[in-house]
Amino acid sequence: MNENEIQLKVQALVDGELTGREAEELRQRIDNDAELQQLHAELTQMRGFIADSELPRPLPESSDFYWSKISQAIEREESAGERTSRSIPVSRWLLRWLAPLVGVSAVVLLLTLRQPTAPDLGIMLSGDHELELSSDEIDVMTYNTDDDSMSIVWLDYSMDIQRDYMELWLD
Amino acid sequence: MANELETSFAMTLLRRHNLNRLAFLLALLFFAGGGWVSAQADSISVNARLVLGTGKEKQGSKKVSESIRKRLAKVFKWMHYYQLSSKKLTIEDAKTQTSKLSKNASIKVTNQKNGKISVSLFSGGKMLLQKTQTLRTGHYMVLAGKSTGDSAWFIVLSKSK
Repeated sequence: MNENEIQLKVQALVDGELTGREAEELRQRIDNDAELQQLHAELTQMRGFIADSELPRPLPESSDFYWSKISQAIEREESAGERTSRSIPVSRWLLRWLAPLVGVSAVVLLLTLRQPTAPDLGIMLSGDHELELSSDEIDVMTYNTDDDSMSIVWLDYSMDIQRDYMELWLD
Repeated sequence: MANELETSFAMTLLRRHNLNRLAFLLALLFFAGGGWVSAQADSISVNARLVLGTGKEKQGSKKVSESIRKRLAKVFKWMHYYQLSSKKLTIEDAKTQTSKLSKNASIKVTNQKNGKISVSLFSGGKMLLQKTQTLRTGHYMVLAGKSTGDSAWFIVLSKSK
């Protein structure tokens, strides 16, 4: 046992941590060693100083009740922590749904705006007249009388109505 | 639906004012008649005429009315206008009727409410155009084009009285 270990043993003896045969052997060794006697005396004196200067801290309640209070306080803090951790997923859930929704809405809006419009064959005339051609190949001219009592659409489209009319009757 | 409400209203009147049965029937007839009149007001009658415009007189052919002839002759070079066919279409509100004016030419007329009609012209089953306008009494919608020789075809639509 080196010197440091012996000093630690003396310290343990002073603190009351050694019991039985080990304590007895160390006491005998201290009795035969002047240096160890001095160390033991110093440590004992030091311990006395510390014990005298330490303020007594009595528990306000019985120890069982005191510790149960601490335990309840810990449980309360844990449950509060769980509530906080539960509210975070709600915001995350909202974010999880809102973000895709906003994204899809933006895509739909973009597609709607970029949707190719139908070929504009409509011709707006005066008043509430609207003209829509089914083919670009047919040229048309429009004419309205001043009093709007007659509107004319002239098509560059030939029909043999006399023969057609006769055939209709012959059918 | 409107008639059911009217009947319900009449029943309420009968209970409240102790009207006799004859008065009740008269009231019912009045309201039902009103419904019939309002239903009739939604339909439109359109005359569609197929007209040939030519520079030469055609003996034996039926001439168009003077009103139409004057109007067309004021715009076009042809002086003689003959009515080849005439169809009267009575179209209910938001309904469509088709009429064949010659072997190849036909029209489809849709009543779009409040005197507004939409006319589609077909030739040989192919749609050439669609014109939409409000057709007032005494007004004409004319669709026209060239025909064989020095002649032209006209489809003249007007609102029947």
